[in-house]
Amino acid sequence: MFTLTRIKYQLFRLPGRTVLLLLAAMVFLTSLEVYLINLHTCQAALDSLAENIPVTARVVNRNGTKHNRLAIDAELFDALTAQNVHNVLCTANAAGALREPVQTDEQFAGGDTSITAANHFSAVPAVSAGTVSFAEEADRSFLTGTEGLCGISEKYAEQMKVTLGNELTLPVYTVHYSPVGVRYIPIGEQNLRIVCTYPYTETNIGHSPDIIVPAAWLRAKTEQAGEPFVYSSLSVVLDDPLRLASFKNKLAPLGFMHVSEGDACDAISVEDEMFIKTAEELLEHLRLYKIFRIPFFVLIVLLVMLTVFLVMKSSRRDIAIARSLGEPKRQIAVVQFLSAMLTQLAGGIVANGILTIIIHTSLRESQGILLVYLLCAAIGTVFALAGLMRFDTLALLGKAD
Amino acid sequence: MFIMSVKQLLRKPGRMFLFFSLLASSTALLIFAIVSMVACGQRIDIVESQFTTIATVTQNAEPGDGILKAEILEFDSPDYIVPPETRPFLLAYNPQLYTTNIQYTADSIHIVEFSPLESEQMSNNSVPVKIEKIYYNDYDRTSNTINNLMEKDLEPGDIISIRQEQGPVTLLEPGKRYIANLSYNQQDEYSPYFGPFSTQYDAQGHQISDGGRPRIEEVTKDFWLPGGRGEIWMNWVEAHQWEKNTTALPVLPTNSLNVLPSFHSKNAYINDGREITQEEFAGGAKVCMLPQSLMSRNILSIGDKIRLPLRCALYGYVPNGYKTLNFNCGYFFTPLDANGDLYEPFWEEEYEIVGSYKQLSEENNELTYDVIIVPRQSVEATWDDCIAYYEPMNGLNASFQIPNGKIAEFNASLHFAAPAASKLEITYHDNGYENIMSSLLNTRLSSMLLLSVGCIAIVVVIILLLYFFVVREKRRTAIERSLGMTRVQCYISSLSGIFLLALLAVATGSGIGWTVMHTVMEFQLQKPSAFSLSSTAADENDESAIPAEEREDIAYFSREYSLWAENEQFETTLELDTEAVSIHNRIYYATPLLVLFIFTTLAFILTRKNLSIEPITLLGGG
Repeated sequence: MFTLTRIKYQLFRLPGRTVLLLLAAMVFLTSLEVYLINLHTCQAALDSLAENIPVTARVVNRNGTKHNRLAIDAELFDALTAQNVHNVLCTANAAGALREPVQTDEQFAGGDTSITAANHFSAVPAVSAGTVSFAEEADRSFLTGTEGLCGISEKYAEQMKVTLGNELTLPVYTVHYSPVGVRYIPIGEQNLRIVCTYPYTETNIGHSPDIIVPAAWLRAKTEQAGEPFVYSSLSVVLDDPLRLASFKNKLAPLGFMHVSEGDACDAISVEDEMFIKTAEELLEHLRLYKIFRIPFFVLIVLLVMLTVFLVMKSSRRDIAIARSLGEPKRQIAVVQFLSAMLTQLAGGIVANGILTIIIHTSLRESQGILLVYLLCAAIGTVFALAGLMRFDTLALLGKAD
Repeated sequence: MFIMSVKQLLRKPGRMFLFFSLLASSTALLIFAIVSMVACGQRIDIVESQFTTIATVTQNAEPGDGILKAEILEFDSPDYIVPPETRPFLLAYNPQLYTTNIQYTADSIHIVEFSPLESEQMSNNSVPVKIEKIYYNDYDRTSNTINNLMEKDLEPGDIISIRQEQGPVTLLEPGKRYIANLSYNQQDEYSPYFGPFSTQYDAQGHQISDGGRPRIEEVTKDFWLPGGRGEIWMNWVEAHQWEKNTTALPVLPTNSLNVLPSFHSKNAYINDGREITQEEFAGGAKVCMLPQSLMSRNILSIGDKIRLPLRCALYGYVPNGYKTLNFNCGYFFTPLDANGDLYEPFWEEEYEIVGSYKQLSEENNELTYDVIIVPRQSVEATWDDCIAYYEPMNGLNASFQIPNGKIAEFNASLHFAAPAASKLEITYHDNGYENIMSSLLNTRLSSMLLLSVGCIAIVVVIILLLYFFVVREKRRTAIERSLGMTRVQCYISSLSGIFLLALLAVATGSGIGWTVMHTVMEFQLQKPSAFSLSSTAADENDESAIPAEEREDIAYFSREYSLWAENEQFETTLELDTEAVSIHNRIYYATPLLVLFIFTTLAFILTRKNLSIEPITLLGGG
């Protein structure tokens, strides 16, 4: 109680000194908070960059001119999709003959049914997911499964006189594109149930296929038939573009090549221009602030030390009187320490409140910074008091000012 | 005097060291704050320059709606960077340029005169006819389907069967002659396809021609007279012959690359040469950019010139594998005007190739195959009389550019000033600018606040330094005066020591700041190239190597597998970095000089104040 009374007395006896220390605390905390908020803001911007600017990796042919109608080996597909990626979009092409018979010389030439196998409607540019009509028991997730389900274009449905729920039985041929032409590889007669329809659309890279089937289903059927399966397009989005170098380092061992010359379908193009240019600027900024972090804290400690020392200097005479009356040095130091810390705490809270309004920091962040500042202030105050208490009581009391 | 002044300082070593440390630290902090603020501003400018904000315009027209152009969105706003434009494809026919669209296959087209051997008026009934004259033969001779294996060029005297499956049926009477464009079908018969017709539109999107599409016409006595239908049929034949030998190349006139969705989304990039500059766009320079594939196909290089005779315009046409720029693949448009004459070139000029571009992915975009980009102003003739196709805006062919970060504000102004905007679907694209820039602008505000704090800190330290070493020393000054020292000697005695202290302190602080910033700047000049394997990549053979992004000393991403970085302008980046270094060097010199100037000025003022007090007054204790 006596200590509390002494602290109260210390704070209110010379209000000018208290206000000075309070203002100094506000300035120091402001500088610390601004510095740390800057750091966190930059880091937050960097962390959210992946969401705002996704990085896509796309398999292309060796000279980079083609992104679909490729022949991507299933092994390359498995290798790439096993990495830290999401939003995998893949297609494979096939053909069938629902009404038109196979050629008499058994040389299949495309048939009357174009089939695209995909794992998501987004992978097929000429089909907009929003325009697909599903049968009651189905939804767009059927493309991720391995069942013999399919969607058909409305134009094809009209031509072939089929509708939702119908079963189609037709010979299917997987399509292998190569620089010299197209190869059709038979995988036998397949049964498909129609679960959705979509409007026929034309875009500048093609038109809607007659039938869309799940890519995994087509692959399973092809492998069952003992034939090699190839994808005609593949793109993925990186989970963590900040680990771009790790991802790129793994590509060569997996069998992916750089774009150069040739037609092999094993090159990768990473669409990361916006991400890299923005992230690099943020990283430089962040790095600068991280380097100065420790010197900055040291400076704050020094400034607090100096301020407390100078503000408390006028209390030396009071301290000397208290010492001469027998009060223990420790108790005097505790009173001085607590009064200084309370003043700085008050200054810190006020500065925190003002800055929260200006910079819109979160409560948690502000509290954390206040704690850091109080730690710096405590260290500075201890050093200041250590210097302050080093005097000869009699010499000071006997000295004429 | 100087030595005495220094000795006075050394009598209080703790205080001297404290102020030295504080002044050095404050100077380093101030330099850091200034450099950080300047660098932050530069970075924001760099990041801002990567982003552009465009709006694509789509008209979801209902039957009966008139066709609108993006130009109706123009209003007196200073915010348009590139005003709204509706971009047609202008078809250029140059026999010396070859298309890359090698998947084109000719439709079955036989333009013949024939005489029926029987009378027939019923649709869907087959009629035997005898071929009298051949004007044009073409079909896909490369396919091995049954149809194509049996089809052949028709010759006079051939007997074939014609079935009128589609369109109005023409009565075929023996003894008369007819002319038709025939197409071979699966039943070893021929069906009449489209005879000459026009798809010409006016500038407002209204069809000028009557829309009639004849299939079979009787060759009457006046058929071949001047001004008769025969001339139009011959134009039709000529159009098909021309199409067979000369493929149409799409020319895209625009006012800026930034408003093209492909370039805006960074899907298209320059892989050789340079972009058409804004000055060239504005001035209508005769320059162009070609896709790399077209350059390779025609063995063209940067700097070569190509002739572009432009014949007609297509608005809202989206070429694809099915709907091509060969009019006879589907007859979505024709090269005949409303009078039945072939479109003559309305503009023909030589264009210099300044750059080539590639695309990262073949998205549904405006850069279909073979698109040649030219400045809109370079086409000095109007094409309003040569519009062969007109569809409403579809988001790919109509757009405009506005400043970054002003979408909401601009959209409100637009709908207020141009009420027609409500009939259109306007979609803004900023590549994530508003999400990212809000964070960066916060860092700029923080940098400014830090600078303010740095300034306050250094002023406080200077004031305290002068208080303890000048103001508190007025008794000493009085003693020196009373011992006969001159004012100048008193100045030297009071100030020289602390001036040396301040000089050393700010120099140390500046040195600390320079060392740290220099270390940071060194890494800015080590950006890896597109195919650099070693500068930032972890060693493949060393599994314990720390991945690049976890290393503190690396702040750059690998450009491996990044096609856009093939021609990354490192020279420009280095110029920017060199400029940044020179700005920072000035800060390292200017900041300590400024601090010293403030210090010296205040010191002189305070010392002068000390000297203005009568020594007797001070020494007498009054």
